[in-house]
Amino acid sequence: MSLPAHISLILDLTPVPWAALSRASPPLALRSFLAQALVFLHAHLALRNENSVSVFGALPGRSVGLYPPVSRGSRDRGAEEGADENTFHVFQQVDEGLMRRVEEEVAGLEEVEEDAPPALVGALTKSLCYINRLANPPPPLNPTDAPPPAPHARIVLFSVSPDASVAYIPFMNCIFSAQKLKVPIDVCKIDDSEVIFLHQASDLTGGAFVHVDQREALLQYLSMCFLSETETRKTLAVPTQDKVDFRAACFCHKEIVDIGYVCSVCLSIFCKPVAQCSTCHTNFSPDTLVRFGGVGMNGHGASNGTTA
Amino acid sequence: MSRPSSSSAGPSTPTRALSTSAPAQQSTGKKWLTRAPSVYNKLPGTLFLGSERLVWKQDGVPQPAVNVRLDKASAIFNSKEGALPVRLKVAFTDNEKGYQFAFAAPEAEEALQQRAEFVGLLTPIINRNKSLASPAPGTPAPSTPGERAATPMAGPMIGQENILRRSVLLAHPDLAQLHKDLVISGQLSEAEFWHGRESLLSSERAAAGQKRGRASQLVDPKPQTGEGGDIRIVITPQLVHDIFEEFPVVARAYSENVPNEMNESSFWARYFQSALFNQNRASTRSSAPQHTVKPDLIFDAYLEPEDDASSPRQILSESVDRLLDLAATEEDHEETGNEKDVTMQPGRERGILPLIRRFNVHSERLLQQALGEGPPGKRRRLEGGEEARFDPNDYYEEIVIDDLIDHHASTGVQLDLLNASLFSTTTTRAPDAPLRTAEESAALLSSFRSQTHGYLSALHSLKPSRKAAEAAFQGMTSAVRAQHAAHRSLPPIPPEFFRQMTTCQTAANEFLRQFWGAVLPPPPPPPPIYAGAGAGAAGDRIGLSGRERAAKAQKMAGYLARTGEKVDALVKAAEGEGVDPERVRAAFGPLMSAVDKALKLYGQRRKKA
Repeated sequence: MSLPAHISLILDLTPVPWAALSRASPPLALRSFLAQALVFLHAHLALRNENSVSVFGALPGRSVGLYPPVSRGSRDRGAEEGADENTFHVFQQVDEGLMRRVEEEVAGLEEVEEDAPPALVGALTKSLCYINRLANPPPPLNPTDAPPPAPHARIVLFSVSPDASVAYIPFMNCIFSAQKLKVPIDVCKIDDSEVIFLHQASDLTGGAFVHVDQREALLQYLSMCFLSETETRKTLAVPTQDKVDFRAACFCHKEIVDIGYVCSVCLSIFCKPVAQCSTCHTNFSPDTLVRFGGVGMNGHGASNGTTA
Repeated sequence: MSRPSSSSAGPSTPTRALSTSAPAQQSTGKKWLTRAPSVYNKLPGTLFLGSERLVWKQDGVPQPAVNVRLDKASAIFNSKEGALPVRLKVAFTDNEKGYQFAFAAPEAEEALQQRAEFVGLLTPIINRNKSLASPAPGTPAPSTPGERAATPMAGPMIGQENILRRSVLLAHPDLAQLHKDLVISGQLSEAEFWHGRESLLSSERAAAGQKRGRASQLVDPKPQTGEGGDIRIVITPQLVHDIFEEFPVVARAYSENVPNEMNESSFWARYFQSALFNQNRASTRSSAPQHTVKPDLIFDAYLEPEDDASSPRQILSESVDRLLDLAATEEDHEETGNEKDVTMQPGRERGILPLIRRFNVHSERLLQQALGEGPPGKRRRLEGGEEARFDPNDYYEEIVIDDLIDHHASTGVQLDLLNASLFSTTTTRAPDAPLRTAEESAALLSSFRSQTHGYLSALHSLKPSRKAAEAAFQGMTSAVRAQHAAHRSLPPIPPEFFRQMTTCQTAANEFLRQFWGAVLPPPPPPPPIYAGAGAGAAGDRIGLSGRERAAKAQKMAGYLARTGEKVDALVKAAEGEGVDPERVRAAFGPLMSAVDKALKLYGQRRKKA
């Protein structure tokens, strides 16, 4: 039989994009989104007894773990409220735990910080650490018992905002560690902005990238694309957007270049030869520049291959 | 007369031969290894053998009639034992017939001895020639490159270049095909074709310059069954020499028994039938019935007991390099370990052990010959006057590695993103965010917070709209279908047509390469290690003058313009072949865009100039 599965959700809980989304057409309010995400989690938990879930949230400037709850205190509170006998207790546990934490965190937001991007990378890192912890369980109390099998984990990331540019290198590091851990990163893009990093994330780790057109039917997308386990996906045909934009953009103008100049120290790309690399500040030798007819040198150098 | 044994059958003592030949040696002033009176072309004369030449001078005639270099000697032949006169024939690579000399010493025995001297000296020369001639690449003219490999200074440089090119083309058949299409048909010149491919030529040059060492095969003459069940082994003097070197037992047997007990041919006949030969064979296959081993009085005396004890009889090298010697630090490990491993035995059966040990002995001998005698450390110590004390300076040079020495401590450049905003991949900056007043922000935040309250009601009333769900479903399935269609494999293109397409593509690629090579700035000169012997030739190829480059660019632009027509012709022909023409056009899409880009640049340049 297959191994138990673990889904790690990463939610973006910044107010500004959600406000924009609730006004967009077709609109999607955070309330409805959370409800559909909960149904998706229930479906996943219902597939197998041993399936598990973890949720991490990305707030402006910081990331938090939302489920499973860390502090012991909340459990007592749950017992106080009384179990609802019409709901499967696992589902209720998840719902209660998650929503309580979400409320707490959102209530803690002081002001709308426009410039602080959502800490998606932080949330991603935390979920990878959690998955790694699951993969190395503590030894069982009875040494003769076999340790429980490590679950197959995957990450589903909900994105509502464009790429955060400052987090490029840590983001790529997360992608590489996800590759090593064999954790596919699925990306569900709810709004319409360009996210090249997330494209590459899902492509490199073998996940699915889905752009949701009909936002009201988000649950349909979730159940069709993200619910199936990793092994099952090989037989199912998961609709993923496989045209990833791998083209390189030059670092000085952000234009896409076909032929460019690359710094040999940090591999940053330029469309015209420069005297000093702007990333690592290495000085290039004057002979190289003369040969390429570079900026600031005697302008008699032959002109070079064109940029795109 | 009895001669000292070793000189008759081995390369060992040319000096001995010198002392016993004619005492007028010193007066000639030339250093001949040996000489003997002999007859050539029915004329009496003297045959001289030098270290590099073979000279025959007729008596009374000042000019030598035969004066050849020995680096082309390929084989020597002896006349039969006991047949008079005693003849010796030397064949050369460029002179198959060779030269035949008859030794004219008055006594038959003396003639035989002199011939044996010549044979002994010529055999190693011939072996060396053979190993030099073999690495010649398999070119269409095998003899000429073999000569050239042996005499590298002889041919002109250009001839050498051609040979290298030919060998590169033979090594890469697809390159040869491209060469045939473009150069033979006259579209590209030879020099242009090789411009930019110098790395291939230099690697070929480096490989050709390597000299091959001795052949390392264990000497194992295999008998061939002839007609009537006869067993034939061809015995050439080279084989004899090799056998004596490989198995010193046989050399000893030969020297002790020939010519006392038996003559040479009967020696070999009995050897190959004896148990001694069987023991020395390089395979453990048991002797087939056709090769019955007869007990032989003389040879069985030389039989050694089988070498299959637990440790080999011949310990190969006593001295172990100090840096590798485990026993050097034995005192440190007395309690914990490093016991001698007596359980390690080569081979699973005892019968294999002698064979393995024979291979070991053989490899050790080859290694010694290749490296020279004795480890260098030992030699140094003896020269220093037998230092008993271990001198740590002996191994200093081996331990110290120059790359690890920190000549000037450099802190290095910390790779840090000093200007992180450059890494944004979004082509435009963030969209104009509406400036919010304080109240608006507060309102936004409070509405956001309210969304997270009371989730249960939202959960229970969740009902995704059916139309939207169906539209989503349709959208996704059509996406999957499109993906599937894109990856579905198309029917194969007929191979002949496909070959035409590939030829067109590779030819166009070659033209593009030449074009960009002429247009773009030239590459930097290669570092001196790679230049090698062809540095001069590569050097002047880099410096194509500006006018030449312009001419080349023009020529290439002309070819590229015609590529478009070729592609159109292929697309038209596709119909007839049963291939979808649109598919062919799509296949040539990237090529056409590259050609268009090149032509556009060229047009711009010409307009500017």
